[in-house]
Amino acid sequence: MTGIYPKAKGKTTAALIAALLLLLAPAEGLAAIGCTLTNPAQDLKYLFPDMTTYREEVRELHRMKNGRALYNVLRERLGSDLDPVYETYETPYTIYTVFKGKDVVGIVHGVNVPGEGGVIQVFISADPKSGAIRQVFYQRLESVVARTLRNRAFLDQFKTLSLADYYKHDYYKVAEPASEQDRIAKLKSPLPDQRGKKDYEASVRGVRKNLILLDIFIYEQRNEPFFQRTQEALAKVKK
Amino acid sequence: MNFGRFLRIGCVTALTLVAAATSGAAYDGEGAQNTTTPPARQQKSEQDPFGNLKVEEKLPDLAPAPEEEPGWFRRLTRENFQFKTELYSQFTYGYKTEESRDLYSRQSVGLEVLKRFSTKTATVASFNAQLRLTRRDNFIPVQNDMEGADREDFYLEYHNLYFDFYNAFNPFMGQSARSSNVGRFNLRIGRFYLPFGLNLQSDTHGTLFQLSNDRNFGFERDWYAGFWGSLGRHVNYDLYYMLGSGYGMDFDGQSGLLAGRLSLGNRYLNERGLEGGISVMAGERVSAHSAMRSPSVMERAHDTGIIKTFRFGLDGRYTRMVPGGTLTLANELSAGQDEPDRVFTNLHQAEYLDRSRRWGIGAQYRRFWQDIPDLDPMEAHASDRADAAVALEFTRFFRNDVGNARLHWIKFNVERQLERMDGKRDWLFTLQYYFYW
Repeated sequence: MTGIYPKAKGKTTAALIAALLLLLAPAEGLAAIGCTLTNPAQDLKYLFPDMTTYREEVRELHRMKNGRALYNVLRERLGSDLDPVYETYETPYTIYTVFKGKDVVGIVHGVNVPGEGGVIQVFISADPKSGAIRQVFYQRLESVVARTLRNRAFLDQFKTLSLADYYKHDYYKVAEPASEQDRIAKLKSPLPDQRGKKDYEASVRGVRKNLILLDIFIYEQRNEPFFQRTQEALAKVKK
Repeated sequence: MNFGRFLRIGCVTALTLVAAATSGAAYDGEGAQNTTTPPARQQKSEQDPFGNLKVEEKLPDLAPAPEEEPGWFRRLTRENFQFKTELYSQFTYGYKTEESRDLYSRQSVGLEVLKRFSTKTATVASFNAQLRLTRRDNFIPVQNDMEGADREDFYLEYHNLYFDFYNAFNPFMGQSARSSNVGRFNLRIGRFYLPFGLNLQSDTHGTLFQLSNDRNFGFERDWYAGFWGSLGRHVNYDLYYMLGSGYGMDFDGQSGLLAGRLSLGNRYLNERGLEGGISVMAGERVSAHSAMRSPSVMERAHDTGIIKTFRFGLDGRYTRMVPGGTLTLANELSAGQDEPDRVFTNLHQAEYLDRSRRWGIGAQYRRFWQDIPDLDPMEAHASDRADAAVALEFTRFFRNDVGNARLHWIKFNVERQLERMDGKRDWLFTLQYYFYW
């Protein structure tokens, strides 16, 4: 077997090339894919039977301007701490834009969230214009109630929900617990008992996290007025 | 009309008038726009803090933000570009395995580049390269460094080095055909894992446990060109022509290998934790080590190192939750010929990963058997025809990202060699430090 640099003459050259490659590398670009579709063509085709092409975009908070601030934005809008193993600052995200010809027919994005038994990968297919959910589906789902959570009737409850609905829910659950306008409160757990409840809650949280990140990555935080209004309204309620 | 009835009608009328008056007062007070809304409900609606907010519905700007310095190099290294660095340190002690009793040492610094290329409406290609500058001392044949036998001292190695071209026939297709064939014809050119067994869907770049291919063929990666993709939701395929030279892109007169694999669609992994497939490989490859270990193969190869090869493989991997974590069971079986010898390989592996992803344990048994017919019957032992070992491993993870974005661990591995074609059987103790970010 021969290498690209025979060792008799290649020792110094090899070291120099390696050092050069390390120096050329952008210092901030140090990560790989966090939550991608394992077979995007197959999965996207299933979601969009008429699609012709798709485009992948890798987004990384730590490579974005104000990335650290945006990570804090995510935490704050999620309303819970980010897991140090499953939800790190360096986690990369892939956004799939789906086309039929030249028309955008869908946007798909996935996140990891920690469940009771391990990782839960929650993907959403969003309406490209409104950002509202068209479909929710799991990829990896390490849960004792995985089959129940994959139930189509349960996942269909998320259809047409938006990030604004999640923000509004934060207000309604405190100020008007029985409000008809609280769409998140109407979500019904598919679980017959308490077994797997944490995974159900992690799934609902995962959808929210997904929508927040899409709002940051794609929609220029157009749902932000709802978050601000929620904070103001809650402040009034607490007074 | 009696007095009683008159009184009831009078009371009802009076109550109706009072109610109407009260209602009218409330109506006037609440506003006159929605006459069907009950007063209380309307009161709540008025207090709804989100009443006048609406989400703008328009297509966002999906193109990446323009770079401040739009030079080609900056675009190349910023847009859908990922750069990873790797530190690798391994020490293995084999008490009497080889003549040298010094500690085997393998130290390396490496990098990986991943780049995607896109048009406005499609990701059309990607590139992946892995390089390592490695320093080896006192080499002994550990299972995760078969290539290192000829690389004492410093050596610059490449591992992955390939392009993928997605939906390669799209330029020749109409819209309807493109839609029908999304993900079906992806072209791969370069050096990557052999499309045989589980290796295509397993990242063994930094691990101590390896799969069967390295021992089975003399290399785990090769130069190749061919197609991969989905045949519906249930089955994926891989079909390649390979050079059959392993590390170097060498043309030594071998005809190369044709390899095909059918594997379960990804939905089986996602929904049931199941992976698996069947693989076939046939043709000619160059492997000096494989030729040297069998006199009959060497004779047939006429000292060229070119080996006529045939393999059929069956593999499977099952991942499921168990109390406290995840259990993964993997198996690879293959049978065939390195002409004129028959060969049979089997590998069985079990791994447990704690739910915290902070620690894991694993066990592996592997055996490679070759029916070498020219052995002297008086001297031959069954173990002269086989290499077999069982290994146990403990890993402490400092970082173990779900998508392998960052890996940071220390592994301790103990291997008991049960059979060896060449050399004494013994114990190997390995300590490895690995950091990938």
